[in-house]
Amino acid sequence: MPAKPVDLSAPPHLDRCVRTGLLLATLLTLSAFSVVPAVRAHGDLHGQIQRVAREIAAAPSGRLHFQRGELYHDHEDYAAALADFTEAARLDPALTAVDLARGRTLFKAGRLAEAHTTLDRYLAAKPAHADAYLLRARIRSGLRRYADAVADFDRNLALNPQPSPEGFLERADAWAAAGDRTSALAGLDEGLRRLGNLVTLQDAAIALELALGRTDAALGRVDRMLADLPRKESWLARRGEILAATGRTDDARQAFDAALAALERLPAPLRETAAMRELHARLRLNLGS
Amino acid sequence: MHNSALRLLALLLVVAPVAIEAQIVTRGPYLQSGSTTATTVRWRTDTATDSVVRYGTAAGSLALTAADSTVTTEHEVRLTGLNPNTTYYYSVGSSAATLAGGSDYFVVTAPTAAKPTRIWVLGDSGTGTTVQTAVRDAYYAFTGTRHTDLWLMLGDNAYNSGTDAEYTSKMFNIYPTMFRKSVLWTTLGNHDGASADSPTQTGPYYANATLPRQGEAGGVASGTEAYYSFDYGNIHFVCLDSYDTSRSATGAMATWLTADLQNNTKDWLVVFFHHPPYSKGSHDSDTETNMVEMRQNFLPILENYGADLVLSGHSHSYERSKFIDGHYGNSSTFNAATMVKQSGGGQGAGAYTKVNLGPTAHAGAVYAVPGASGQISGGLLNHPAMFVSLNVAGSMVLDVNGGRLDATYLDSTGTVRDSFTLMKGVAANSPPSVALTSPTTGSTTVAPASLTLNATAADTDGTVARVDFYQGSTLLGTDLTSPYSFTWTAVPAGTYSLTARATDNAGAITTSSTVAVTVTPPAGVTTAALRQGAAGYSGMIDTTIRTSPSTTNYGNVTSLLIDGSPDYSALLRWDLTSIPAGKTVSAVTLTFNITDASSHVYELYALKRTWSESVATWVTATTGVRWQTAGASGANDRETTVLGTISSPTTGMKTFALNAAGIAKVQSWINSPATNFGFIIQDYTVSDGIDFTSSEGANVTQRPMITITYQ
Repeated sequence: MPAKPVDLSAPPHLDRCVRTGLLLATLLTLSAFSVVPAVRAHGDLHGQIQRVAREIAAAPSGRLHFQRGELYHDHEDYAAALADFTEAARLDPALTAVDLARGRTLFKAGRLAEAHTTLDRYLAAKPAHADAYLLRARIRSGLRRYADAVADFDRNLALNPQPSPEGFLERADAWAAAGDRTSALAGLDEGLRRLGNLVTLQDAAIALELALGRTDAALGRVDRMLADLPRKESWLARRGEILAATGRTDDARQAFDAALAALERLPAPLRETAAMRELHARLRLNLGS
Repeated sequence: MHNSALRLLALLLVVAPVAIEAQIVTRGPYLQSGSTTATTVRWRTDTATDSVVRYGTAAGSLALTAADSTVTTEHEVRLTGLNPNTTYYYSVGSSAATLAGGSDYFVVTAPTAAKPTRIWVLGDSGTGTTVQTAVRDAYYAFTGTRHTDLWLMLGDNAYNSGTDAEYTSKMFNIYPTMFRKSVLWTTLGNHDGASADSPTQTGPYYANATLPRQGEAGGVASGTEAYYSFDYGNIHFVCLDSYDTSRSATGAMATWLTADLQNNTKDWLVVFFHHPPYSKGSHDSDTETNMVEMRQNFLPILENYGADLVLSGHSHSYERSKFIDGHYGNSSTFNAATMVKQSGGGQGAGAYTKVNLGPTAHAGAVYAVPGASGQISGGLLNHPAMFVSLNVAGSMVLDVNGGRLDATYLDSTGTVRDSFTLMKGVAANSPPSVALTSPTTGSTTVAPASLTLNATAADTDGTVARVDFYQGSTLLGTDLTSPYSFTWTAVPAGTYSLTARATDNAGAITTSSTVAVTVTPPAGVTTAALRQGAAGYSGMIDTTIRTSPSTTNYGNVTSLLIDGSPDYSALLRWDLTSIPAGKTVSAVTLTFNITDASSHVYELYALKRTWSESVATWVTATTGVRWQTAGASGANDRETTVLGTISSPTTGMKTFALNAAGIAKVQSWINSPATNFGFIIQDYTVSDGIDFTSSEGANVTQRPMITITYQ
């Protein structure tokens, strides 16, 4: 079963074991949880919880409570997880990782203010912990403290030699939510410099350029993707739609024609995907044919 | 002696410092991110030096060199400028010494076009147990000298927490000969994720891997090692992170996936991630968030862009789906009539086919869960989308040759437990035609009747392989040659829906129009059909008892499970008091909707004591009363006379007749209702379980039914 066992015997890994990635998912993810039962039947996770419970009964320790708290967290039984983390901290005050685990659990439980307080305490003790900044950034976004969130995303990205595209996207979202689309764009460009010409980052950057009314800059980004990707039709269509929105109808038509030609050059099976059929309909509509 | 001791001491003084200083390889070498023109070679040493790979196209002539001057114990050198589909032998070491090399240290670069390709697939392998090594040895024996072109690990590659030490002992040290000559591609499992983090790509899983972030091996750049794609010959592989990256349909991974697949033109699309979209093994895809989200948010994308094969682990068993498309809901919403693109198991002439060689939307895919490469953990193993579900340790072998993909599940003893074939770029097969010519609709006969079913069948682009005759969904008989005919004898009174089903040499099936016939009872004979919830009947109870967990009651579960490994029994009782005492019973049948087929034979016995549907367990019959022997197998628990048997190699509605002892037992229950404790279906000596719908099943017509003929 989906266990997230913790190797407490290896102190250097302890904080790593307290995961922050998508376990610390966005509020969007949290809302998705609301449509399913709060506590799931998790097969052998039950067995692992029972095994640790037996060990606790035999010889209670902070490490065992911490371990069971992690298992309860995986089981999405946040109340039980928090109770175990409290007991772990009581039995072993030196177990600083408890605060990170507690913060993560409070975040997933939607208790954002408490999660923030907990992360403040943890980061005071571990000021160079990249993952903890990422978690607190997400908490701050949830609390609509966007400027503070951006500061934490900045620290996370600065401390992280190999960030993922998601970190840049989330920071851009926070910047945009704070009303600073220019900085959001600059942040995405930093991501593009560090990670390469990624469709995920360019996609978001084009939307921001258009929101800022910078049509030519948006077209420049489209052209970068056109240069990099072998399949052109979707990006040509996007180019046409950007041009059409600014009233440059002749140029738009040229782009739509090119997109349609690229699409129709595809082998039949590739033309027949739902996405390509939808694109074909869009192009026909734009071309008035 | 004295001189000898002095010589030994002198030898130690001379040799020992050398032995202490000699650098050794403590991990690898292993190959990563292989492409048509480059491959990364990695290894670890006990002491830090620079890194040098010497290589060449002949084992004895390593004239080329790639080096990194950084002094480190974690060596990583990328060989570039290689020729496609070419073997390069190599050694690893430093500028001062070669540490490892030989004729079995080689890289075969990826081809630019299709070539016969062998892929080894391991799921949840990293247990460090004898199961893991047995699975490994079985594959090594199977493949022999056939080179493994690449291998995949589907996550949980090092238990229990994915620590560096666990990767050494349970991954690198287990497959050293494979690591040095075949490129490994991995995905993150939840146990790997215990010590690793996808947003920051840190922790041992990411530290040990060099995976393509910039499309270095084909595909669109993802910018992360958490999810990526690569090409090998005519195959496009996609790796997703089902554990630690947003599984949102609008998240970065989904955006990248769409762009990547939009740009794929390879013949084959093979996708792998840890959490299976369909499983009823040790994990349940109806309830686990990761599995639900992968199914709901990613399968529509994958199927829209023509995925052929989707591989996952997580459940420690082997499950392999039918050839399906469009199933994004819970298991209860699986509709074989609309979601199965081609029936059968994909074997022999019935290989799954796609007309187009390249990616085609919604043309069918196989979902496999070979998650038992390190341990088995059982589970219900009854997902309706699956064609095969086995609690058997093993690994999967894929052989791709042009437009043909053969998949094999090899168990830990080397036995092939499942196989199927996908064919692409083959002309569409026309299904056969079939008609049931007799009897005719509306005909009536008197029981016990003898009905001769005659059919005609033809196939315009092949041959008719068989014609099966059905009553409802129950197979009556089969005829392999024309004229197609079957005589159904001793037919009891009832109304029957008869069909003939023709299968052609390519596995396509056509079912004839239904012929409805009536068999009327002889004067004075009555047939009572008792089914929970049908025609106002509410007198049935049933449950499953299981050896583990032994104290859990399954009275409200919608399936009854019977097995001998682990031990399960089904208890069933119908209230028969609606049939007047003194009537003479001439026939008794039981009808079940088989959901998990088995060729093994299970016996029916009469129970001897009261049991409660809501209380009965492996150890307890009813409140405060235990079975004499756990599992209801004691002399005071059940009788020993076999009243009938059930066995069904196929799923669907099946009817089983009780033998003379069974008829007599039902007669006695009608005459003396207090003695009716019902049936137990049990055989703890066989291993392949059989399941059927219980009286709690949502569909009333699929619940167990007893049919009693009396006068």
